[in-house]
Amino acid sequence: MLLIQCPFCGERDLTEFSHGGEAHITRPANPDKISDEEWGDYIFFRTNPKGIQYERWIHSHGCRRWFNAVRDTVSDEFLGFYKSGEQPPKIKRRKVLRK
Amino acid sequence: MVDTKVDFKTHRTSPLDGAVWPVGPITLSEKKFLGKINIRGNADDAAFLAAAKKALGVALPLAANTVSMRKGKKAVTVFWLGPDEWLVHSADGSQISLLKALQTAFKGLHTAVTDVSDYFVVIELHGSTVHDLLARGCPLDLHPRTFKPGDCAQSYFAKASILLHRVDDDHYTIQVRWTFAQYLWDYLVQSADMMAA
Repeated sequence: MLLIQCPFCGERDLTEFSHGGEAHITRPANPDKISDEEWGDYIFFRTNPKGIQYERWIHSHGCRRWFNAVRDTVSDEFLGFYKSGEQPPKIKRRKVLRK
Repeated sequence: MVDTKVDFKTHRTSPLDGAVWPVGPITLSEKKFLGKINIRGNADDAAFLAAAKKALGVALPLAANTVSMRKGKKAVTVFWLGPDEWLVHSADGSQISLLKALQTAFKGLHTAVTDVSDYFVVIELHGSTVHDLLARGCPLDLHPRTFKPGDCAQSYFAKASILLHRVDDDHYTIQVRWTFAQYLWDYLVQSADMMAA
């Protein structure tokens, strides 16, 4: 069972949450002027890192608020949680987790 | 001429009318026709908090997953739903005047007050083994060290989103969307049967 720390409700089971994909993706300020490739990049392409990823989650069965989480995509370990609009925590790469 | 005047108070039915609960260590009943009002507002705004306290007679709970209650004639239960969202339970019929009182008190403030009385159904559970029953569909840790009497939490039971309130040690209320009420009731009946077997 994976536990997620909702910044509003506290620690809850993963199944109460829904995943919202990679966080901190900014919509281009001038969509009319950029190329199709750049627009496609914004819409479809994600970093998909092996390791630490910053991502969005929503507490869909709880307070229904969006927030951000830091997760290691290799070990599935959550390394931090923070509200939308807050500065993401600095996470050091931990080699121990990756064999 | 036929008298077409209908007294809605005597003719209305609730979503769980006729639902029967098996005899056992746990008793279940529907708390019918409770008034329910949803409040949205800025918890950092002192004017909003003061206005809410004036209209409800009790302060909005600001700590996560807590409930504040007013006893007596104008009894209300106020649930924390989120950092800017609350839910009020009040006696049958009182929600109309309460809604007006809140709207008057919030005049000029950035808020939203909505009557959601008919949207939800409240089920009351009593019994010494009620935790085992809830554990059959709810992922919450109901141990008193994390979920004390007076706490509330939004979660799910099986496939239904619920608002769980621990009134006392062995006494809970579950609020569920009315379209899920029959489903939740049947699930609870079946779970209780399996526990008894």
